[in-house]
Amino acid sequence: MKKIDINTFTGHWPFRKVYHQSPDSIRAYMERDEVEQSLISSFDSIFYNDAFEGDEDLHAAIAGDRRFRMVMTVNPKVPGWQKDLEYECEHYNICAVKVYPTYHNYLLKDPDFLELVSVLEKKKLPLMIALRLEDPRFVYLWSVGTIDLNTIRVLVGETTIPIIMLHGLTAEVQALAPILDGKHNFYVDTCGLRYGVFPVETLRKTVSADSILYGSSYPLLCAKAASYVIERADIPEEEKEKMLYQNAERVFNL
Amino acid sequence: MMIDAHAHIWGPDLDSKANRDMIEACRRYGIDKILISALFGGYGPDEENIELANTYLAKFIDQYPDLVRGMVYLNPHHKNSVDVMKKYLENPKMVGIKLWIAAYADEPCVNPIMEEAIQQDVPVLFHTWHKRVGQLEHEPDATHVAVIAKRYPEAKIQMAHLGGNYYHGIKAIRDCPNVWVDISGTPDERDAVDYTLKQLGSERILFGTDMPGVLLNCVAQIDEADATEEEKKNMFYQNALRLFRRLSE
Repeated sequence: MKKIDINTFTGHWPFRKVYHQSPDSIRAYMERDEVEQSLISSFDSIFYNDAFEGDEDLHAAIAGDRRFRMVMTVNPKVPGWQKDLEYECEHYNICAVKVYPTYHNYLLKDPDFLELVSVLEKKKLPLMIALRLEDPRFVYLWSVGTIDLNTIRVLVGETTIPIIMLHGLTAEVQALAPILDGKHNFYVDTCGLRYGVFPVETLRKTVSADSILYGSSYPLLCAKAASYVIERADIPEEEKEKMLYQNAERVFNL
Repeated sequence: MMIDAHAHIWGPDLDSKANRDMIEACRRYGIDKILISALFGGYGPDEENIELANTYLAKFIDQYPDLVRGMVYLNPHHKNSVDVMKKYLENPKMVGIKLWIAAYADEPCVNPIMEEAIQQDVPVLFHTWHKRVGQLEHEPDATHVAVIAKRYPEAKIQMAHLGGNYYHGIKAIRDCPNVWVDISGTPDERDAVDYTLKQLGSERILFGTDMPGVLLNCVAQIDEADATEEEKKNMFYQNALRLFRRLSE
């Protein structure tokens, strides 16, 4: 079945060797797993002082390949992102912005972050919020924080742009079920839905099929883990199509 | 064929939703055998809870005799642990021993269990995790398993969850040929199985899930690994058949 993966990466992950981090490896995964398009961002952009320099490299690496749509990484605590955002909208055809509050050490009520949300509203660009990138029990050298789910609930209530929560665990998604109803402009990806025997079937009792997007966090995490929870669920085929690609087409105007 | 070498029941309600889901998942996804331990009574179960756990596990096996096999659960601190072990291993569908976090894997109280396991030629499954945050008291990691493996080179040992953090766990037991590792649980990084293959080869890796906690992530990790079909067969079931003598009887 056709898929759009809304959460892939390339670049260098600093804490361990990632075996399939090159753009060619991502292309190979897409071919193998019938992923027609992937929304890709850069590991480097998370960790460089100037995220834009990582995004420049990412753009050069995927330039001309229409299977990729670029997602800009922004650290709103570093001055100058406004002009970079203008540039990436104009030259890189970005389809969303991705933020990492636990890595860049700010809260979702931070004025600089709220300014970013305000700018994205004007540009009608979706915002991806990564809850985490790896299991905190594994974290090597550097302990990252957590995001209070209530602050996400508040943000969703106060903005009109699509908010996509990445790498939420099954229980965290369940806790936000009241705003994952297909009416709020709020979505989750599937890379954190590890817990439970039938996680998507269980979530579907309270979460709308319109609110779930296939996103793998590949190559950091296992891509098939994020797709199996949809493909192997006992739910109608139409719902699987929504989660695997139709919702992504709608949310990101692909 | 698939053999799930690591799963649990958590209480005496054998018809719980979690248990029914687990059995349904085996049928739906083609898991032919599932090796279950019953973890009753918290982190340090008393003798009564150990007895209950193994009694209910035996009942669960009787409900699904073609599918379920048992791992006898023990608290190594109990003076009667070897007697409990002997009693429940009389059931040929009990195929191994499970130790969780009542004691570190290398504590002296574990020795009699290892000696009886060697006698009866059954593997001992040790829970392991090495955590940056949240390590539990007496929770073993791979370094404890390496000590007991070297103390009893004739013993067959199954180390759970790739040691928790595979960068900590796999090299710790790399030179212990009597230690197999299972991939069960939440270690979810794309490269966990490939890294383990590089360090250990495919013949010491077991498919396991930790159901009802986790399932498809573990199937996916082997499906997605950079491994040959033969190596995947080793991981999905052939190694389990070689390790657990009672599965072939």
